[in-house]
Amino acid sequence: MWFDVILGIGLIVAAVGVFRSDELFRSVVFFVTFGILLALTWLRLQAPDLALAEAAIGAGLTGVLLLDTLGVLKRPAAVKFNLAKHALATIVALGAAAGLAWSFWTLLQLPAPTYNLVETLAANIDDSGVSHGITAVLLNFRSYDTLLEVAVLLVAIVIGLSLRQSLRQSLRHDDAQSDGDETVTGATTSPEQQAPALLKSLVHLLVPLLLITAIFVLWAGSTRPGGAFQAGALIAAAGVLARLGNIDIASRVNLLLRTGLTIGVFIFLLVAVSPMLTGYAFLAYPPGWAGVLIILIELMLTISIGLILLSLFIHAPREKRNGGSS
Amino acid sequence: MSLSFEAFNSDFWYACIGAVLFVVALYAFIVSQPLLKKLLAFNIMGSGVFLMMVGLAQYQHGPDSVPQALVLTGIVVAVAATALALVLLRKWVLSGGQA
Repeated sequence: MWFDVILGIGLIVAAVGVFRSDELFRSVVFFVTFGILLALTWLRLQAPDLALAEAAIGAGLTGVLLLDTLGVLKRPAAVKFNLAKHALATIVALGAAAGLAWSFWTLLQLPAPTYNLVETLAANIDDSGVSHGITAVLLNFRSYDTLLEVAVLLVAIVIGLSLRQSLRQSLRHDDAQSDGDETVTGATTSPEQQAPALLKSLVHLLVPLLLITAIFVLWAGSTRPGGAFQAGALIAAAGVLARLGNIDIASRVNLLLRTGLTIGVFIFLLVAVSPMLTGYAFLAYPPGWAGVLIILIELMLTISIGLILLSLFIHAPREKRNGGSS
Repeated sequence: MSLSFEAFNSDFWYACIGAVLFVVALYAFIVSQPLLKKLLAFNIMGSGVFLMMVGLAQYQHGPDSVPQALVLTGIVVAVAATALALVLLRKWVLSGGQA
């Protein structure tokens, strides 16, 4: 119990640290700390899947993205104190606090709800094709949510990629050496030798290890904590690490990248629609096929999610002098 | 007061922490001037909501896969939205905007 109290207070302290730091770098460091504490919190809430996802995504990947963005930002202008804004913020925050406090208070006095999702899930898990509850919910009972989620990811990367191209076009005007080829592979070969030797050998060791771990986490998902999202995050982390070691895999293959980005949604939709041809409902797995199809979808989703998260990092707009080498 | 204080366990505690995080982050979201800080505050607001979702769903029945799966979806969408926001932010700064 004491651990919970300290962890909860630690979360709030880390959050306040994010907001009170004057330097953005310090804010980002506090934010990564917050992510790690949150991963611990998910463990205390007996949600190991969420802990895995939070550690890989919330703390790791978001941290890298944020630190990378700091390099682009100029020094922020001096902060002006704005009384009206503070007054508005105080009123809104107090209102939200009052609303939340009231609903928590009422909730504590309510009797236990009559429905019990835990029991419902336990009673139906044998029909789902997998034995791990969260995977069953994500890819069988509530697979519509997951389908829409990967569609959201796809929309995000489509916007990200289109912003990259319009930037490249504007660069092409005054930068004749980027010769229309949007992958700009020629420039990436030279800095590959410039990476520090220690970083390079570490990356060579870590990337295969991360990929193997990703495959294990994906496979484990049907019986234990793990699954497509965590595995996808690991693949993205491996790609980011390789990029930091100046091994640029992802921006060399353009057509393959686009195929990889869409294959998750495509296969998911295909599996969702094809039972309708034989008279089943949308997203209903044919009897006996659920387990195999779930693994297939998860594999494709892992590829897509990993590539999408990685591409959002690699293809983020950069300054012109870095623009040639990215 | 017929308050069932025995219902107050660690799940409910973390839901309360989530509520506090939400309120603090909401305040910071409005007050902060750098756009990056607004983005961080928005992320922490989301984390607060996730904690409330899981904590409040679990404090009576124990570990529950349904809200956990929904929050897992939420975490992945949140990171995609953050990455997209960062792309927009960088584009804005590179084209001369004030972050």
